[in-house]
Amino acid sequence: MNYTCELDHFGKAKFDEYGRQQAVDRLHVVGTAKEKPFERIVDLVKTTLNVPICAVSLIDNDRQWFRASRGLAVEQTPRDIAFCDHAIRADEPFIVEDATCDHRFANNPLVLGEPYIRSYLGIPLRMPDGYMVGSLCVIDQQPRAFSSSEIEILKSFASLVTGELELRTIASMDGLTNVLSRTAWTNKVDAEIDRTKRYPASLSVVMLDLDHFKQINDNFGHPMGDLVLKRTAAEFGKVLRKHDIAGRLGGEEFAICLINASAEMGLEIAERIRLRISQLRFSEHDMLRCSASFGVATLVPGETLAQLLKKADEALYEAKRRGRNRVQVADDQCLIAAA
Amino acid sequence: MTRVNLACDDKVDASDLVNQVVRSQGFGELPPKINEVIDRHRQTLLNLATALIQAGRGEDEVVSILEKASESFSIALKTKAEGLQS
Repeated sequence: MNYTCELDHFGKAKFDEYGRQQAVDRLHVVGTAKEKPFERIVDLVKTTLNVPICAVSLIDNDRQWFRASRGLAVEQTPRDIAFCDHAIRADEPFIVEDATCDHRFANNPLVLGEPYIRSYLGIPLRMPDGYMVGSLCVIDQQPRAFSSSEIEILKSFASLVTGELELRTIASMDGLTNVLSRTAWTNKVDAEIDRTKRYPASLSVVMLDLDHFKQINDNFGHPMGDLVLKRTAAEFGKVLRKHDIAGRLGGEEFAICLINASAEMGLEIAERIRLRISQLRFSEHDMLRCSASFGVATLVPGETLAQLLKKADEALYEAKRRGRNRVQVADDQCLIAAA
Repeated sequence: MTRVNLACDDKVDASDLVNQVVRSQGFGELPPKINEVIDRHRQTLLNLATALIQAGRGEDEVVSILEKASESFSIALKTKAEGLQS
């Protein structure tokens, strides 16, 4: 069925879909497994408001993903049929008392078929940066008018969901460099490796370590050392693709997981980052220069993350041994020395 | 301080109910960023308590809902705080 919603707020210039999508990406939750904190909240909402269906829905580019739901048989739907896509377009509750009488939804497949939505109340999940990443919604299979108290109750529960999402973001990011923390990076890359078992794809890991970082701290002070770390991590974003995963493993050591990337592509991307780091300049200290050494390893089917990291780490060690500021690919497939 | 009339004309203090629940969770000392989230969480619980009382829910039911709502957050918080320290 070729069905497209007419969106009331679609034409509003202030609806910044690109920024909103980036806010969703920063949460690192779309497409991942359901989690108990969200499930506890939907259970509580369902009981408190006495509704058959409740969901925490996040809106991605073209899908809505249910982070938790009760009364729904699916984990996602196309975005263009999602009631929640309407809810995120204004910072106010979105209410449909009877979908069959609403021209926007009367022919919606979610109304005509499972889960047979008749009434809907959705509260946008507004993050502190102002972006609406999804909604907390309740659905009934009967026409229903939602009272102001019910709306206020659902708004409070939506704030609980937002708080949980905030906690996740804070905990998963490295506070200094704004890339993933070691734990979050490991969890996310582990999930990607699991995914390659179901949907075979190449995957490479780049490990990098800033050269002579202790000397930078000793000679220019720790605040400059921190600045070098921040500027280094900022360079990743200029080279990596949206779905690549960068993290700080600790100290001056970073790791990047490249999805759908062969060893050759890993080498190319690592080399581009290496060049950018070597070209960094600091207005605070004209003399300060920095560089990094890189190890690249590509996943062999059946390998664990620990094994993959060990290969990348050995390649990184080899890059250091051969003079630093260079990229070394594991298994001696290829070697590139910095200019 | 938020005071809301119950149907029986008793006064139930939403703020007291929230403090009662949050005290029992014992969040302890946490980084400033997380404390900001906790402050918003307290306000959310206060809003929830107020809305539930206005909807005519009894004190016991309100406390039970607040406890469950806060329990979820508390578990998440503990996990996240531990993650931050790792």
